[in-house]
Amino acid sequence: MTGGVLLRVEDLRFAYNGRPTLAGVSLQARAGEVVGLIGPNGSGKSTLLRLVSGVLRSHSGQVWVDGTPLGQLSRGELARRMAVVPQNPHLPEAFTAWELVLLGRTPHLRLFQAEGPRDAAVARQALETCGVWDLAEHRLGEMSGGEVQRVVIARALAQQPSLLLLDEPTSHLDINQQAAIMDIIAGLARERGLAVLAVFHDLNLAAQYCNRLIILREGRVLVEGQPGEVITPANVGAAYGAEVCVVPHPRNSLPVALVTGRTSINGGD
Amino acid sequence: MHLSETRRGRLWVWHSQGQARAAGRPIALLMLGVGGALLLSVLLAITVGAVSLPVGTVWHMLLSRTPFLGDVLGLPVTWTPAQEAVVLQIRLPRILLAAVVGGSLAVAGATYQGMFRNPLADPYLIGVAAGAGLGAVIGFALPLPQAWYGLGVVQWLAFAGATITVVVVSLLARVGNTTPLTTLLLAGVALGSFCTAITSFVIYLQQDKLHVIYFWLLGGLSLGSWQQLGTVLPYVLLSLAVVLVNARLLNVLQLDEEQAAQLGLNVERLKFVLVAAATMGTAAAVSVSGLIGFVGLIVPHAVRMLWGHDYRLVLPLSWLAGAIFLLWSDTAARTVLAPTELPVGIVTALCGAPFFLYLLRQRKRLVF
Repeated sequence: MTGGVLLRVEDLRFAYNGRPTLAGVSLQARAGEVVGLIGPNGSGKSTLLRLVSGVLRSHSGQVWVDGTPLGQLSRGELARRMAVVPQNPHLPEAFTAWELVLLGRTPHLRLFQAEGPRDAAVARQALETCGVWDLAEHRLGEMSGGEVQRVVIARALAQQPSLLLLDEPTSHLDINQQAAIMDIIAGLARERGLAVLAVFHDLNLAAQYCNRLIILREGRVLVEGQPGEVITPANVGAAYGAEVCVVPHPRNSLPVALVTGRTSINGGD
Repeated sequence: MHLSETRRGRLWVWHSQGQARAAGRPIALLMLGVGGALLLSVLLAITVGAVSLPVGTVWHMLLSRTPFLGDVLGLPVTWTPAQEAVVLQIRLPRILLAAVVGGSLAVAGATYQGMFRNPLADPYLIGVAAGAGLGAVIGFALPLPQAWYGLGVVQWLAFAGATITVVVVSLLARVGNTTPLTTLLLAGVALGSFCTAITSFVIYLQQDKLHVIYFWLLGGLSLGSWQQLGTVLPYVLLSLAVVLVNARLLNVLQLDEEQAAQLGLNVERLKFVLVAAATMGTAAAVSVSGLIGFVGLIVPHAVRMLWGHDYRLVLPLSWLAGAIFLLWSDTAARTVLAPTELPVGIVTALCGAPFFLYLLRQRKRLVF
């Protein structure tokens, strides 16, 4: 089901003003799989994404993107291999969906080059994949949160990456939109063979859609594996300090965690 | 919904659908139209002035002095040398200088608005005005020789003051390897206030020159000459070229910097290049015109309201529209109360503000 390793992170460390946020994280993501990154606030999830996407420079450790060390890739080369869907990105409201998605072609264009028919075809396909081609000429300021999020994912697809990073792609969305976004993401991995690394807040959503889950806690990998192995009362308790019971989902037997109380106050935020 | 076989704009933008938009194939026409309007403005404005001359005579004069064409046509000379001097040595360079200054200020304003993603940004945002003012006032105060390379000492010091201030602001705003835009803005405001304070102090000490200094600070083009035009033109054109080359990247910068970087941009280098280019254009403009307000703020907005927010359109059209706007403002400034001259800054604000408010009411949709 899964292919080659498109992202490999080894012993990544990072500190903000001397306070360590990542204390040696290793992980990988393969073609065709969705890897969910979960963990309490401040556990280093977003920092990890920003390091991997080259926005932050790591203090130590290594990142390989499709076999090439991150440091040896120019920004353009990186953007052709990896696309990022940020959490709550600033977007110009006056832009149409079409204009935003065309910006995804930036890493494929030379300085003087304008978008051509090929770029238009890629942009259209990206909008269609995300089900928002009908909204191409709508302004972002006039769209719902779910629609905007699809357009942002379409922009990432227009980069034609092999690796997709998402930071809480379903936050602020209603449950129907959450499912729609997750269906798109899972489809990209399954059908297009993208490697997806996504940060989630919602354990159950992550468990339903991810092939593998990684729990980060205090800048370290607490546990990693298939959803059934990771979402256990012991692991969730250790990571979040929350007391949960885990039941199988009636449809697919994937784990569902239900909060029953708090075991300590140091786990959460 | 067919993919854009309805192809709009060979050079610029592909639209998803064939709906009529400001962008698209008419872009070439749009540029030609606005460029033609600028040319027409030059030809009309040159016929207006304190010395009244028939329109036909003025154009004959221009034609007969056009290289090659003049010799070929061999038009009869029906005017005096004095009249010719008024048109060719006073009006024409002044009109062209107004166009160049207006264009530079507008394109610098558009660049800063785009870079800072702030609709209130203008070319003077990060200290150019305060630096130029300080340089100029020192030029007035010091007993220095009058002219170097076509510009007076005041102009050179204004240029230097503007450039040095922005360099210092940029250095002060650096945090590690980056220059956060907020820091840049705050450093610009702080250093600007500092320069303005020194300027006020020098003016206070030089009260006999108060009138001259005051007029310089208000801005004006009454001293425009071919020499000045020739001296500032290289800076202005270079600045324009650099900004235009980066126009598409300025579109990407309308996202935040993190997204722009994740789309493959070297954001720090882009910011540096844009600030350097905008500063050079503004400093060159300010050195010959003083501090003309409003052009750099409102012209880019007017362009956006009329023709959309793609910087590949906004930048060149801002240049052309700014040129037309300042050209006519200056024509009004030199003719309305002739032979007395109005400071052109008064005209730009008096005409520009109502027009801008009109556009704002007309088009309430999002444009920035």
